[in-house]
Amino acid sequence: MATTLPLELQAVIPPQTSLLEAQILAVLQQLPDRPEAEKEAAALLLRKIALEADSGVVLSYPEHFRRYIERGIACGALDERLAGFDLEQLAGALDPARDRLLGYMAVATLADRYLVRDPETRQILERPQSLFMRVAMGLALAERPEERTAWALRWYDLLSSLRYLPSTPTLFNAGTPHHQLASCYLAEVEDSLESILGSAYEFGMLAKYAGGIGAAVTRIRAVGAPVRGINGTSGGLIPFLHLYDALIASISQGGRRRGTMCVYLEPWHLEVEAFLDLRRNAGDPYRRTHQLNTALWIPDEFLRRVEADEPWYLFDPAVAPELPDLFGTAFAARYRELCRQAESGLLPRRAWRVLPARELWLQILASLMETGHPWITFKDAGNLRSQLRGVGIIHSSNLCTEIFLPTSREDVAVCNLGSVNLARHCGPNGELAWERLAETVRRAMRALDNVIDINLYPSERAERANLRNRPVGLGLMGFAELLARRGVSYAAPEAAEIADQIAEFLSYHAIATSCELAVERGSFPTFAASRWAEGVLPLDTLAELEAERGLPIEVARSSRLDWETLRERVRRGMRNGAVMAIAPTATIALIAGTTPSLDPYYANVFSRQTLSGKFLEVNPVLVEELRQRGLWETLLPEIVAARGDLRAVPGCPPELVDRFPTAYQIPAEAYIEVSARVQKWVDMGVSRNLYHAADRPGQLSAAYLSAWRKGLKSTYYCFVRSRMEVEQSTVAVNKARRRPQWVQRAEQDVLARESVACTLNGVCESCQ
Amino acid sequence: MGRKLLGGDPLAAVELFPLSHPWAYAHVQQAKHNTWFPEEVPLHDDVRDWFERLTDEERRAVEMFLGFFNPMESLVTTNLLLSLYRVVTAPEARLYLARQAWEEANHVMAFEYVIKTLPLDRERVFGLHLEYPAVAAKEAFQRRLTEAWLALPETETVEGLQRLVRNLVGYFVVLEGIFFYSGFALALAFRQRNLLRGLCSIVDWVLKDESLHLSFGIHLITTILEEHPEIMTPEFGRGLRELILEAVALEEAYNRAVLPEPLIGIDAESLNGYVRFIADRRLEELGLPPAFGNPNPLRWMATQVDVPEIVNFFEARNVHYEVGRERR
Repeated sequence: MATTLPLELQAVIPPQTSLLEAQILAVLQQLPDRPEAEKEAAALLLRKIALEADSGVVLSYPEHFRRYIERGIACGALDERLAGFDLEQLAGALDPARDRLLGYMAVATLADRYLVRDPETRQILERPQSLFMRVAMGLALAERPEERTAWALRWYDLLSSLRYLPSTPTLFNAGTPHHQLASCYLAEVEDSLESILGSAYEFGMLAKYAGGIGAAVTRIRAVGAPVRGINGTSGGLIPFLHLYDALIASISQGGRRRGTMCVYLEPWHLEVEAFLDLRRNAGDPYRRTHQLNTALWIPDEFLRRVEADEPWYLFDPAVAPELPDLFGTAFAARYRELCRQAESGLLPRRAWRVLPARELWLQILASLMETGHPWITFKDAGNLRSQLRGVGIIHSSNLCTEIFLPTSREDVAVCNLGSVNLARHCGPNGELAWERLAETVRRAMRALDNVIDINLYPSERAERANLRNRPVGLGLMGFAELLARRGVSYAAPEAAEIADQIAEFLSYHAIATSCELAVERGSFPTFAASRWAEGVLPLDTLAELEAERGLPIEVARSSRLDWETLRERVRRGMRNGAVMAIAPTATIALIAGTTPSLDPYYANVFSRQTLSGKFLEVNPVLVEELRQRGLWETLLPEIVAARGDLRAVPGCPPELVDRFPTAYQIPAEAYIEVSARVQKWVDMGVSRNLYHAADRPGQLSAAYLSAWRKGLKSTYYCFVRSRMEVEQSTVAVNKARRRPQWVQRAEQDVLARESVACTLNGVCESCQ
Repeated sequence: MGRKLLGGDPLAAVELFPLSHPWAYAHVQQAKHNTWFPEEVPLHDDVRDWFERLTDEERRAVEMFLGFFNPMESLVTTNLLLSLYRVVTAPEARLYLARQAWEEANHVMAFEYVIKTLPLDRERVFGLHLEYPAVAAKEAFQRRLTEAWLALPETETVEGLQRLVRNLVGYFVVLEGIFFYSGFALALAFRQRNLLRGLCSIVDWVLKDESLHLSFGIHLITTILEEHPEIMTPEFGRGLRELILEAVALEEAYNRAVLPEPLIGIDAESLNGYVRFIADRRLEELGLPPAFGNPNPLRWMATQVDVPEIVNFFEARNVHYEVGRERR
């Protein structure tokens, strides 16, 4: 092995590391039979990392840390200002026991992408505890010099105990010379070649340092629109999106993360149907985008027309340039006026088209089912429930559909994120330690606020907007693990009740902390124009949405905490224009060893494919329950054969079958209800993955209409169960004469359709 | 009762409906939903792995995998079109055979896409299967099955039907259900170490297709055995079992040639243990007694193949979406 490594690496990677790699693979082989193997593999990998970081020996953490800071600064991997901390005190605080909180997936992911390396040799320099300390120190750089060490110690404790993790860009870059710490950038592309190409440059720079991009592209004129100055017509929106696709694919973020971007279009754009096809797997490759994600920014008017089965008009934005800036009743009025103008021949014929709203809706759902795109987001709920309504108009959400911030020609919105790990705030039976949770929120909010001042902005527009509005996005992870520990099925009504209670608590303390920070550090500059200054709280805006929409928002309005006192404090000042957003936490939840965001366990045994590898996951709470009953060893092969679905495991106790559904057994309605109850308290948005067992696109309609009626601001990926199951290769079940379930289902489907066709045709000779 | 699978007029124009073999049409529908194209998979990271992370030995093993798969896929296509299409006359089954032929062609193009992207020396890679006796032996094994059937392709006699079933077992069960699975395990061992993830996404898709081919083949074989119970004599059963055992021996020799020295995460011995394990499963699916009784040494294939997979979207290709569904 070592003979083929690049020469410079041979010097720093001792030969025992390839031996360790083989040992790790051997230990991982014992999964899932022996769940302990996961921790053993993690311990071996930690040792491999230490050997590399400490150049062939394993030093004690304090020794390692002193050497690490010195070398890291010398080779340009760490910010020089880290030398100004009380390094002795910090070195003594590193707790090696905290390494044991990390599972194998966590350590593998950290090693692959997060641990700081020497820029030249690529040698890993840090170990997990020094990473947490480096990030804590990076966040403390916004504090007064004499208090930095104390804050670093607090944040180190918070991070290394996995109670809270900042988002990936902060983990990557805090404490390094390239301290771009924000997750999300939102921009609007104008209808000019200058803006389209200028944005391309800006997007590339944002993506370079791990920022994800959401871009509103509705203003770009449609194909056939006149282009002034060249005596010709426009090629339309799609070729430019192909350009962004190639751009984003070219930025690999040093192999640590892919460049990522989502484009948002309103469904009245003349080219919306071509937009829906962008992610399809066949067709002209120049009219496809395999890397770029797509989302629709849907005004209420469209869904109202879907429900009423009315026509839907598409317009070239060249004749409707004001629509992107309108929402609610103002949008509806202007849209209806444009429809009248179209029908009266006042608009150029090439600039509009009409089709049944339901037909477009079905096309959207079909595309969702086949490609997972476009994500469905709601423009009017996004704007009407914005705490920054007086500051600006929101033209899109972000890459992960949880950020809702205004953008304009001058402003690129920025948000930095972090998530509380609920699973590290609960006891073995899922009881929450509320006081500890409140303390976590207070410390997390201060760290998030610091990021705004520390952040290295890749563009001027971004810096300007972020310093004016100072938004942060506090989120959560570990919700499904909490439910599992408490013995509550995700499908049970109690799950939504728990979500409501937790979201209220997090929101209350996040807002309260922002008030405290405003007293200490001052309010954000645009505070006076925001809803906060009016004393409006997130819960209040539900009623406003309902009034403007003219339809009931079907969400329980109950509350538990003393919001009236808080309202008075909010009126006096807030440090942050936005405080909460529930991000997907796909990777940081892996590091924290819990379920991401509000997501359920995908199945009771499943694999997860990431940039750092494909990993097996077993629902740990189920393992504990089965072990207590002495059933784990006997049932495991059957659970694998059943693909994690306990209903197909005859020996499994019925109470466990009900308690641990797979993602596709949970009704879509349950996901939407949980999201609605969280969105109720969250001032920005909730990124909501849906898992649906639908067979046909039409079956998704009810779920998405319900999401709209319950006041959600957005939905995210739609996971649809594949109909077919592949032949398993490790399962020793004798399948003689046992036809796979999927074939039996497909066969019934084929027969059912055949007989339906016959009844419709009346007497059919071939059936006689 | 409707049409039999075999023995209709091969040139007749026949209506598809009503179906006599709904399982065959169900396979056609599912195949349609599984449609994919190699260009959907970005290979940028694979190119970097190839030049920056793989050892010479690892590159050689992957080249053999690529160099062997395509000639084998072409043998399957030939057998489908020349041996089977002529005698399998039920239209729903023919529809599937035609679809499968397209899928085999798609696989050939997919591996070509990888070979051209890296890029590899095509001639050298495809020369490999001529250089290694262990490879030539596997190809000769398949050829023999096709030739034996084409020498006297008739379904009127028990002997004729038996030769047909041997052909079906040799292709659907041995080639697509054992040889290919062993190749998949070799490729997926790289993903277990987070290497060649683009190629492995292609393998995921090919594996999904091959799973369907295997399932169709088992249905085809068992249906013929049901329609003609007289052909499954004890002696014929023993012959099928021997055919499979012969194939296992060929595959073991081949794997020793591909992996003369262990690579990190995979070696010939454990791969061959896996081959014996899946051979037992195939024997059982045919209603025959298993031959080896050993446990599966490649437990990690559970992670790679057996359990439901969720993909972190920004990080890997999701191969689970299906196309061509009815709308309402």
